[in-house]
Amino acid sequence: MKILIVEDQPVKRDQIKSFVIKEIDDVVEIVDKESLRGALKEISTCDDYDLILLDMSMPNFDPSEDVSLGGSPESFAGKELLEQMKLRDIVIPVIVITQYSSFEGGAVTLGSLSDEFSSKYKEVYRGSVYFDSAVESWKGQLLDLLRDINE
Amino acid sequence: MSNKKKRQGNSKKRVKKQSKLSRILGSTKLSSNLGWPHVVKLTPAEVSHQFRRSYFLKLTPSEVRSNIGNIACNHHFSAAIKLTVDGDCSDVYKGIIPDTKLLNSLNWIIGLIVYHKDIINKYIKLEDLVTKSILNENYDEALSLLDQIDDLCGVSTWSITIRGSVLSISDQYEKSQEFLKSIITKSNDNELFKSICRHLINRHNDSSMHVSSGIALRNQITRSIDGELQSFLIYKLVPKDFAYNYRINYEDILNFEKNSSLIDAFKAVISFISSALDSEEIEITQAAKFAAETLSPHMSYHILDGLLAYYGIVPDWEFKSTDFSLIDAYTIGDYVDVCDRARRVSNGYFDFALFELISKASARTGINPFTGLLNYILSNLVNILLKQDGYQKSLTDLLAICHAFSGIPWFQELHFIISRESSFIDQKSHDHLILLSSVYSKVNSPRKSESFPIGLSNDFFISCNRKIHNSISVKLFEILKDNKVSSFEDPVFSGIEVNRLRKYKAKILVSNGMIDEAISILEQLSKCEDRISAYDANRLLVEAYIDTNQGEKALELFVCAAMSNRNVVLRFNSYRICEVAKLLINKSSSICVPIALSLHSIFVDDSYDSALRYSFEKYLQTIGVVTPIDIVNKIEEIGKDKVHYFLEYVCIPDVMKLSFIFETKQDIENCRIAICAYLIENNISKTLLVNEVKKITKDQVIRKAVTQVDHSRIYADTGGFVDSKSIDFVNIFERYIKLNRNYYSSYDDEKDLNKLYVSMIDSGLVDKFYTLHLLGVSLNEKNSTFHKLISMMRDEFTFGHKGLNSYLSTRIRHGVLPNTIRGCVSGENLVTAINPKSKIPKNNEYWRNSLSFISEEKWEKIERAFSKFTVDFERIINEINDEWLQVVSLDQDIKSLQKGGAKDKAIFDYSISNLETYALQKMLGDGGYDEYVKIVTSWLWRRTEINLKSVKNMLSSDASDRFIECYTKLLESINSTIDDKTLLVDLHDAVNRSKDSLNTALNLINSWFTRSEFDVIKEFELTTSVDIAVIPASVKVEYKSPSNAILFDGRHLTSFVDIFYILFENAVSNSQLNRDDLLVSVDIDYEEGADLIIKVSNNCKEIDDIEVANNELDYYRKAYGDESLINQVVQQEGGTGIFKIWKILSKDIEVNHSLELGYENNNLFVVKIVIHESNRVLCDENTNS
Repeated sequence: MKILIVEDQPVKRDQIKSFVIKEIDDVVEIVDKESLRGALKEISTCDDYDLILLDMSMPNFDPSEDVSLGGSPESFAGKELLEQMKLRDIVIPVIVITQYSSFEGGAVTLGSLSDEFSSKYKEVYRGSVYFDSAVESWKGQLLDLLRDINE
Repeated sequence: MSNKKKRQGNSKKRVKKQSKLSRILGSTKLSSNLGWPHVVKLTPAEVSHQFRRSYFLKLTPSEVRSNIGNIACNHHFSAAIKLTVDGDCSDVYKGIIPDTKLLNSLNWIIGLIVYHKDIINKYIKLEDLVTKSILNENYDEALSLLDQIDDLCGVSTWSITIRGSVLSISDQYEKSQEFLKSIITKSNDNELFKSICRHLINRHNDSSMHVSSGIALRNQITRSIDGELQSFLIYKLVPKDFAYNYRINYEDILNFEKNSSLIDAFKAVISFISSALDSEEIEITQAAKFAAETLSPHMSYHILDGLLAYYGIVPDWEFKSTDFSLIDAYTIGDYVDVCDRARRVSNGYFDFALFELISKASARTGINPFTGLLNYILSNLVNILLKQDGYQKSLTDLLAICHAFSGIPWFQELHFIISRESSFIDQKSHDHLILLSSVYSKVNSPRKSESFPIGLSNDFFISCNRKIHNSISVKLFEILKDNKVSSFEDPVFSGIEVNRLRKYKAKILVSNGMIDEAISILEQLSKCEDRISAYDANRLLVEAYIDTNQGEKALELFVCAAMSNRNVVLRFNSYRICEVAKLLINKSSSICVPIALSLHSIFVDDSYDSALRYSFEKYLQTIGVVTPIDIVNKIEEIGKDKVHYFLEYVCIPDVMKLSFIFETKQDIENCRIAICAYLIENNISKTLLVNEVKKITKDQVIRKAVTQVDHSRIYADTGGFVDSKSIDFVNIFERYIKLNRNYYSSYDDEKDLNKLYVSMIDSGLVDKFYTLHLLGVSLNEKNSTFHKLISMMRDEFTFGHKGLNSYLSTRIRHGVLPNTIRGCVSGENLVTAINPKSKIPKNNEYWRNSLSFISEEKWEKIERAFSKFTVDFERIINEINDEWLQVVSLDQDIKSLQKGGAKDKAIFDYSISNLETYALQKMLGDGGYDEYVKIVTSWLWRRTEINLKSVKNMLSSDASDRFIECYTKLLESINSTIDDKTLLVDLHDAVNRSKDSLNTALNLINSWFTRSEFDVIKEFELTTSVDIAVIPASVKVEYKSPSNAILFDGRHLTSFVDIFYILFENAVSNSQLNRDDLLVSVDIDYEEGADLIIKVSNNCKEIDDIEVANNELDYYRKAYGDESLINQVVQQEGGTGIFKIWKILSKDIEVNHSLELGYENNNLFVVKIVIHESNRVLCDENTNS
């Protein structure tokens, strides 16, 4: 299984990576990208990914000398990637892993956003995980979704 | 009858069952303080409150309503039933009647209205007269009628609003403020009522600020106010916006309004019934229908009749033959006759439905039959209908007037049509607006029948035909209701205006599935000269093309219509059009695909921005173009307008940002610069694009120059203050400047604010203005305008697309801060994961194993200590992340209304006080909007610095102390359990390491809370500023600078870019040479301690006589430095560049300098700037070396 982790926070990325390697037997490669552009380019050029673990918020560009921290943060970068995948007919299963339990100042819950994704991106969207490093429930949720994909 | 029986009978009478109401009113428990002598004695007011509470708890909604007459004289209830009728408004909204659910509130208000029905019926008649007075500009009469209404019904927010608007529209601003003052005095400590009144009385703002400041207010309320108050404030204060999807909760509204005034309660019920027309909740529609039915027998109100008709209940139709004559004249297309009839009516007043027809006739004839306010409304409405020049201003003007008089049905009807005509709203909302127009209309026109439920239409036409004879309109709509294609054979159609006939034919054909036939008619109609019909036809034609899978044709028509008149975009269903465009991205080679998506993005919303980004890239690929600018080679083939639109609006960084054509952000920016240069050269949106290029190039230069390690995660993009979307800010600023020319010194607020301002300046408290808010002050128009402007810019800075909150959220709150702190304790295994359901931390297996020698009993105690430590530590982290690091930005007026809300602990406090905005006004000079932006930006960053300082203090003291306390408690618990401390060495070490680590983490986090400096540069070379200015000016420049680089102070980069741009532009426009032949030279001369000399020269077309030519420049030489003259001309365009240079050097940089200009020879023009205080513009390194 080849997995793309799209995540700009090293701590979270490492925790997810360690967990996936520990729990999933057939992982052959994990690639990570930390920006929207980086992720889009990766999946547009490599068509052998089996899964994307996607954060919701990240910068547009990879951090560089030219663009510190990758430029302005994009609150819904994950949604943009899903939309671009749909427009470009890229079909790779996606699990969203986010540290937001709600969006737009509490107006949109993760549950309602997940429902929206389920209906809009049903070809690829497999579910959402609320990541909180203080609470380990994310591990169980992610494992359930990973098992569903493996079945 | 036997005596026994008699006795029995009498005895039955005596024990007659006591009614519920009697039991409530006679309750000894309540009247004797619940019968518990040991309980603290209640005050009489508290006892009354208990009675009222009991009334609502024990009675059904129906009983609540029907018993009002019985309790009206009861001293516990009389005030709640009279409301403000006696003139006392100090208890408005104070909850005399306790909180109640929808049905109880509704029934209570219905009961009140029925009880006071005579008053309400008189009010309805007076409201009608007020409407006529306002429309005929008899403002004194309107005010006198409002006095009568207040005497009759008591003060209401309705009358306060209308009075404020009448006083404002008749330029009696001072009177309106006096009136407000009197209301505020009467309101005692009623802060909510006072705050609402302050907003309502100033509703009739200048239109330039209405829409934008309305949105700003709405955002403020939705972001910062919770619960029922949020719904209520939006209902009360925010301009109604049918395109904004916010469902007002009428349970909250009725709950508030039952404690307000008779009129406000009545209006709230009517508003509730109207809003229920599109409700999907059966309980709501049933309650609304019940309310309409219950009220109807008691009053004569045309809106209630309209509402009843919607529910299928036949009202008593009234038909006026004069109305039908006018409607018929319109139907047959005799528009001149319609206008003449309107002109002949002496008082000029028409029910709104007729006014709408007159406006549409006027749009065809150019005749405005009215004078005064009606003339003004009609001419603006015609602009909106025809989407012609001035459309945007007309729209904001009319929306402002609708908001100012929104309590009056005539203006509500005006608002309905404007909303339908000005922006696309989804079909459901559109139909709802049509329905509302029908319900509110006083005129029972045949068109109204289209909104009736099946069955009622027939009754309507039967009634109508009885009273109105030979009306072509009645016949037309009677036939149309059957929706049959064969109906076109009816002879009635021969009399109808030909374009109208075509439109109806097309509609009927479409609804019968004969779309091809409809298309043929619509194509004809779309070319007709009658613009209203042509616009309608275009809209219907686009829909028909989509229905028949002719997507490209639909896009082409939409784009062409938009290219010829942007104002029509919002009339189309652009959501549907964009769905078609999305499907065509991979199939079509039409430029209309990205343009259609872009039009939606600019005029509607960002829901198709992803598709736009993809279509941009795909389109270029499809047509075989490598970079966007290459599209100009295909301009003949594609069309100039479309290519220019594509370059200007589609090829923007936000659209290009995902494209693989570019590798880096800089590639995207360079591409945009090239596009701007091309457009500037072709004179398209020159001013805006020049600024855009300057900003991009400057950002690039600064990014390259900034080398310091930047830990900061705090930033806010203030580009929105100056880019193309800043038009609202500019308009309001100009409005302020205009007002500022008036005399306000005698106004109370001006005197009070100035006194406090001066005293704070004298006390050296110049940075403390934000801490003081003058209570009870009603701002004059100038101060209020400025305050709103500041408030809007503050909102852009904090909550804008790239505002501070966005950075705070994604770079800090989004897990970054919690993970950083948590790492300090999890790394030492001092905390464990928390079970999400039970909220209990898991057992600490690590330390259980390490301390395995401890007995089970003692371990349990230690486990509890670890568990408590985890919970306490997490609680602090969550409080910092979710409560402290929030942005709150409320005006003080509103802020005081909600204590203990969700953002009570927010540290990023941008609430502004009236004194603070007054102090900002005092800082303004004559520098225009540019200077203003600098002042506001600098002030916003100062406020940010204060907030950042608070965050740092809180982190390093409060948070740190609380974390340390957690450690201390953990160790205390463990130490008290295990006596032998030598056994706990590892644990103590771990705690100490964790503390050190926490200290480091808090220091790191503290370093995030500094302002990111990526818009500031320490130093620059002159060539940098020249390079930036060259691009938008598009000229060739050579340098003649000395070899040793002279470094300028980084703060002045923008100023020097502006100076060089002005000089290069002058060279281009005055040299009389083609750009290709023009060569500009820049020379700099500086010796340490001497003057700095910058010389810019350019070749020019040979002049005949140097002396004459130089003499002609004397005006500039003499005027240069004449401040009063320069201030007059500097805001104008053309021939003022040299003066702008003076302003930049003298006012912005504040440097002593001189400027010489003239022809050195017949082909060479030179400008020489001599800066005498070079140390003020150069870097210390130059001056110290």
